[in-house]
Amino acid sequence: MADSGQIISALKGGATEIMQYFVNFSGEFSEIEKVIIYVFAPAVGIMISAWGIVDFLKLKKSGGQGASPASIITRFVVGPITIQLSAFVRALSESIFGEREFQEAETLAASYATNAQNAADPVQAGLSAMVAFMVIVGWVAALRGMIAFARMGSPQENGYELFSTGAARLIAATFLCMFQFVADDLIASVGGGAKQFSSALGL
Amino acid sequence: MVDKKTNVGFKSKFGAMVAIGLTLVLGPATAHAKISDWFGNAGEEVVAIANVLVLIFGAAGVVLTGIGVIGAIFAKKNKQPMEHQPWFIIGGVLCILLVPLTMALSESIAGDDQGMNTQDFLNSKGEF
Repeated sequence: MADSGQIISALKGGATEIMQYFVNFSGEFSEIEKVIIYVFAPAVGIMISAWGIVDFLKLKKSGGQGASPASIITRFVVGPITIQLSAFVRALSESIFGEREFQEAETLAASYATNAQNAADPVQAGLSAMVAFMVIVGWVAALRGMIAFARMGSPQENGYELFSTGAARLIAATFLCMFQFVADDLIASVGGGAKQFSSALGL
Repeated sequence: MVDKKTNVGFKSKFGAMVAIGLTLVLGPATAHAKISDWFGNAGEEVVAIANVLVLIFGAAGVVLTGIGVIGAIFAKKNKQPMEHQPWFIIGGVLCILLVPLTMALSESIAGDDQGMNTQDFLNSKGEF
């Protein structure tokens, strides 16, 4: 007859096997993160800057229809910031959460994926894989926020609505990318202990 | 024998089943492709497209600047005021200088060319 220790170790073994699927999937996030930060964001940033130049040409040619000095300036500012999306999100996170120790913003999901692969505890592995997924969602949200900001200056668009949409997406993106610190601070607010979630992740 | 509802013969159905079966059996051994590979491949395409677009933008800039300069010369010759010509010249030059302009703006805003460099992206061929 099996004792409780054997049952628990069997359950733990089963959970580890299931968790391996999530851990394998989280390994994909490091590559996806690289492509978003090093390819999609710079491509979108260059296109936003080019859009600003097209607006500059349209300003005189068509009597300013579809373009305004505000739209040109907005796109000339938002384009380069989009190229440096990871640095911008890191700066925003430092504004919100203060300066904390974490991996480079460019390899944030990759660091959690590596942590998931190295974790001995299935709970640690699962949590790390989940946070890696949230980071990817955060990068996509940040990119969408920058696109909303780029459209902000157009005369035919509702500038205030696009600004609020972009700002909301950007703040949500910062919270998703830095979910480790959000969870740490929420747990500290309720429970009182510092870095509880980080220690649950094994960090 | 043909199924009246779907109008598909037994041979076609059997062929499709064999094709699906072979794909399922041989696919994992031959493809080894993951979702991240799709993103990687799409990234390579995006870099290639961005390079071509920057080139087209530069070429359009040369044409615009040329039209602007020639228009300005004719306007001066005919003693007419210049209208769109200065915009074409400035806009054309900006089109040609898209990448250096973006890099300069990046450095002006961020204080340093930290993070992603525009030129690195265009030279990367999608590999990081």
